[in-house]
Amino acid sequence: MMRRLFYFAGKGFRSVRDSPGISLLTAGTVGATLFVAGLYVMALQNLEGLALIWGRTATLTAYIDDAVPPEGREPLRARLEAFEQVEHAVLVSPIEALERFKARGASAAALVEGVSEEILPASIELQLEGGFADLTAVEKLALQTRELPGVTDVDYGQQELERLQTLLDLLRMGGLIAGILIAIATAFIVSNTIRLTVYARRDEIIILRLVGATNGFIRTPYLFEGLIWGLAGGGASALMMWLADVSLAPQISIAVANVVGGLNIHLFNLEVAGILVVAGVFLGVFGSGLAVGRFIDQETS
Amino acid sequence: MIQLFHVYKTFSGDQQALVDITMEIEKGEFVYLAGASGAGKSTLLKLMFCALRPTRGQLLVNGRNVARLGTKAIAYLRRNIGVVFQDFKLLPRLTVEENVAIAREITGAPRRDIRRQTYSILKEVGLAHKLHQLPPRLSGGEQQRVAIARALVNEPQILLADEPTGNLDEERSAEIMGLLEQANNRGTTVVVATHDRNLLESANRRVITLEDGRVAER
Ligand SMILES: Nc1ncnc2c1ncn2[C@@H]1O[C@H](COP(=O)(O)OP(=O)(O)OP(=O)(O)O)[C@@H](O)[C@H]1O
Ligand SMILES: [Mg+2]
Repeated sequence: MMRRLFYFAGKGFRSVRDSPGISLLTAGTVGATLFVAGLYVMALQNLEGLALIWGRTATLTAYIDDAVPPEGREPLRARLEAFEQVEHAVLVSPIEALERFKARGASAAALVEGVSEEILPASIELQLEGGFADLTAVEKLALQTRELPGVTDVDYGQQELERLQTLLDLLRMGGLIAGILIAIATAFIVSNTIRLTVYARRDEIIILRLVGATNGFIRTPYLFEGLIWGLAGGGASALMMWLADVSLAPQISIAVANVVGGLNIHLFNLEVAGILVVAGVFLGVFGSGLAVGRFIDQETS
Repeated sequence: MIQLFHVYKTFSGDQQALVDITMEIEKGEFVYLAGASGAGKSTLLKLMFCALRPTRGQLLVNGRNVARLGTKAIAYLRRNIGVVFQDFKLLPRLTVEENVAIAREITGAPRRDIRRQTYSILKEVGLAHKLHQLPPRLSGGEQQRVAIARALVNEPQILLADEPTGNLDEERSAEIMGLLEQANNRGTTVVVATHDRNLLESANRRVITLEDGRVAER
């Protein structure tokens, strides 16, 4: 059993060595496609990181009903701070709110010039525990807050967060579909490339059959060949991701720092690298099997 | 060993290559298949090692009806049938040794045994000194002998040879036929297709003559 395996592996290795052009082409196809797919996955992961940071810095503001007397505000704040997801709850009085508004600039200050603080509601700002990536958790908290007696409205930048979430969902969905399409296309390209090698060796295949080789015997070296190509291509794509991570990621991080502080762009992690290599092996072996299968089923005479 | 009952082979376009062939070849026999070019000799041999399927009729090899065998069963059957092809079918980029070893490798024999058996059969056909040559560098007669070595290395029960003396001079032909006789003496059933009259007359063996795809046994 082991001897057979070594025999087939040896044959696979030899045919890779004997056709370096086609081997390079196949491994290159696998590598390039997987690299593109890998970049996509990493872009998605970075966007998710963005959502996380956004969520962490987000505050939730609960506006207090004017009917609540000033001495009723503190108990409300305490109740909100008692919520599990809330780290801090800070009371913002109408005066403070007015000051903040004025602090925005001269034109804002001019706008509220002479306005009594009465027109602004008191509010409580909630700093969220730990941080969250998940819109539903924020929404749940917002709902709980709104149901408290004395709270008129809740604001947590829901529109922005929702938009980001929708974008992420779309990208994930798109990524899944694109991933499947890319996989099919690559398997097809790989199988066609491999068909070239199989075609170049059709005489050998025919003769092997005529002297009594089983289909399995004929097919297995090609599967090993596909395995080698897939490993090489998958490994190369992982390596390219790593190189991109080392050389490009820091620059991108600096470039986006103005927009979102604290976002560290990553283009490589071991999980993705592992997936790329496994996907490469799958594509190589599957494409190879497809190519020989199509050839092997034909009649000899 | 090989039995045919009312075997027909029709190619596409109503090309009747074999018509109602009934014959029996005994175990250990040495039989010639004679007939003009196009009479159907090669087609008949191809049926015997399942490269073609009969259009109609029964074909038994070693008591087994091979007309409807699956690919795997055909593969195993072929290991028991050595074939010397009209065009040799050697792989030009493999050495003489590798060309012969292939027939052993497919059976999963241990590597050391393969080396020994390959060497021994190549020595028998007189090519021990050309182990590492490539077939295109060999003469026609030498290529023929490599083909015979490959056909015999599995010690098959049946040996089929299609025009084994095709374009060889008399002396080389005699050498080749000697190798086939040797195999027959060891018990292998041998079927040789040829239109070489000299061969047929000098051999004094059973001859089955085909005429336009029909048997014309004398
Ligand atoms: N694959 C094929 N398709 C169609 N016709 C074929 C095929 N193979 C053989 N034939 C036809 O069948 C007939 C018998 O051919 P076959 O090769 O068996 O003759 P043969 O006796 O071996 O001749 P030769 O002595 O020239 O080798 C011929 O008329 C040939 O044209
Ligand atoms: Mg012929």
